[in-house]
Amino acid sequence: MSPALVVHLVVLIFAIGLAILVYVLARRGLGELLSRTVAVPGGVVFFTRAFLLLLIFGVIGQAVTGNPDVKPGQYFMEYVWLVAAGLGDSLGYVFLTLAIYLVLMTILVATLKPKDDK
Amino acid sequence: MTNEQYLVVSYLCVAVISVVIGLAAYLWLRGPFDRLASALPWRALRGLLARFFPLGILLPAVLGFVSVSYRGCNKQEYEKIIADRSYLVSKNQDQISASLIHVMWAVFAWCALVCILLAVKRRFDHRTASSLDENKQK
Repeated sequence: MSPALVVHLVVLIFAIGLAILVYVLARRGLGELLSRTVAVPGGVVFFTRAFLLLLIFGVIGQAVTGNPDVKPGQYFMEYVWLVAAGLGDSLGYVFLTLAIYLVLMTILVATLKPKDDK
Repeated sequence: MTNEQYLVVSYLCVAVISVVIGLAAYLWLRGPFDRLASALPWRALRGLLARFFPLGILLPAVLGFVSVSYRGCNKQEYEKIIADRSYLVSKNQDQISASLIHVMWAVFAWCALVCILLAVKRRFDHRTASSLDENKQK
């Protein structure tokens, strides 16, 4: 297996893991908010599935691109730096997805005005 | 396998992968989207959404694939392109990435559309309910 492929695979595994972690952390709160806001059947499932898809596609799309400049016999930390650079791009997409999705959810809540649960 | 053979085979394989990406996204979202669309009070719009949803996911996937140019900005010649295998591999990676990112933006667009539709439906429901109340009072 070529060193570049190893770097790609490590970045891919970490990036997908990160996307799933973000989804798991946000899923419960997002589900509660959506179930209180969207009263239409399928609405909650659509938005939560779309959220997972956006995270996964974003990070994979970023992780597969690029050509890490690695040669056999490089130092361990040079591999780590390359993985970190790849992960940085994927994290950027996670952040972008979260930002746009939050704006969408804010618009949804502002327009549909869920009942106050004081 | 020569580089030219690799180019043909990889191009076709990545084209199939792009369609599979679009198809997977469509199948993942189809069920809840259909239920959402069927809750809309406008029948014509329901039909339109049901027809456009698969296209609105699959076409961006294919668009992402075809948007990657092998020639690049400096208009390389075919012989130069196929001379470098690593360049061909990186273009395949770019095609898959572009396909995924295009589908991602398409899903964002569909989410925004669903938000708008839900807001319009809410206003429509309020109006219908208030007109029904007025009729009862008369």
